[in-house]
Amino acid sequence: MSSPTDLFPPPEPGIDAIVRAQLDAEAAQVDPARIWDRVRVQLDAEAARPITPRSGFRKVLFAVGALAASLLAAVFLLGPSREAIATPTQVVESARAANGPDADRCYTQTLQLPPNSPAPLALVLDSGRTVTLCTRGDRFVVQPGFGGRGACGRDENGRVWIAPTRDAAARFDESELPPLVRDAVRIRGLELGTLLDEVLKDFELSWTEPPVHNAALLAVSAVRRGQTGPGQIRSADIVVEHDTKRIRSLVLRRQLIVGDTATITFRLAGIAQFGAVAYAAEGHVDAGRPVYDGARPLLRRKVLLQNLGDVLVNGL
Amino acid sequence: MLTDEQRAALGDWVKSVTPRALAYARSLVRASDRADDVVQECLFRLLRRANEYDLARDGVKLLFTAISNLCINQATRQRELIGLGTSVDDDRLFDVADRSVLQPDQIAEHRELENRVREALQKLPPMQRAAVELRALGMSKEDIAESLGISPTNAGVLVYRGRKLLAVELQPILGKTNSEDSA
Repeated sequence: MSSPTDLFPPPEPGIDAIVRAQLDAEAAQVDPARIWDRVRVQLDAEAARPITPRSGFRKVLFAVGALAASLLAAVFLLGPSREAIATPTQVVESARAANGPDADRCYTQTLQLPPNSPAPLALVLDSGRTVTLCTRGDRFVVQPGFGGRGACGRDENGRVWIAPTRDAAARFDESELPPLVRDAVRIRGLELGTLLDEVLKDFELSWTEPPVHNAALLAVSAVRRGQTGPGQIRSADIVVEHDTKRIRSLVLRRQLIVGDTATITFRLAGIAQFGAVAYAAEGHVDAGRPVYDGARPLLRRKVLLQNLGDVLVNGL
Repeated sequence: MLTDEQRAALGDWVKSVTPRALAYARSLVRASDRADDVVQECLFRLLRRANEYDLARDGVKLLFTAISNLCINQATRQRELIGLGTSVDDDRLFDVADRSVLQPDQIAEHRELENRVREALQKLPPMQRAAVELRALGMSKEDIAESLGISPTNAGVLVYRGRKLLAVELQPILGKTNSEDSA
């Protein structure tokens, strides 16, 4: 690849040189690695997305698919046995055990809010946008964050942080969260360890599709036993990779505090290796920029109000 | 997924072009977080089809074209191009407006001048500002035209007018600097 000098030839002296000096001074304050990290996650997510067949191939693919389905049906009906590899509970337990602090998993996340959900919540969540969520254990980081800006996440101490810009961030203990933000974090976030513990404890598990011998993916449906409380998950579809025990995809149906059920879909986009700072507010502001917590409540509130504006004013 | 080798090569290229791409986008949209989003989106669109391009040769032009497209809306383009004729001598358009100024590295250190340049650039209409900045980044008239979706002649006109306005805006400081130099 070319050097920056080759890519951007020197300017002519005079006004051009002045403008170039101004642009270069601005450029010197930029951390390109941050943008590259974000683009890389997007590229990985893109690569993991299923490919839509082009129309010209559809008939051929349909015929091949039909043939494959027939063969599978024959194996299913006539074969010597259809061995169940494990029980649904064992599959979820194995996924829980594999959710260690060894690797960062990145998922694309789409969100479908019910029509009667509160407007400020939809605005804060920027609900039409597909975001990328990376997680390790119960930590997570979401980009872009609330209102489609910056990033937000939960750090290793369980604190929620919001960094709408690189200039400042706000950090909250769980008990300090404004109600609107608490709901938004619950919907956008993913604490896999806690979630799977809850599923194992309080949910009825069954196969979404009965697994065949040597199945690469195991699909489990989970439905909460008894009544679903406000903010709780009503049901989940969990697809686990047989070999790695990673969760390939996850669909959560969450009862909103106000409104009906939101559907949140996660699809595995890639495995990464981030530093711990990726999950902390400090990793998402420029060096020396403040992260305000409960010790500076007014400044923390100001960060949110300045950046998320009227949307949050209604919810705080 | 990208191979490690492809990823490393793309990463090097991105890190080379991103600082100036962000500086350009921030000048056009002003809000830095919005500019970050624009550059990230343009890089993603470009790199997802990286195999189809010669990034070393065309990457910068393609990236800045995409940024220009996202930052400057169509109405703005059309409005600014109204009345731009072809009568201006093309060769004259890229003449240096004023050669008797400080060197860029000296200028960059001068905070007051830096602020004045930033303010002066913001006073230019978006298309002029884009044209002047692309020229300052070393692009030819043809490349600027392609990036902004206009003719080379119009690109020349925009650069010429932009430089002229900047020279007027910066005259108080440049004049002072020149007189201090000569004294």
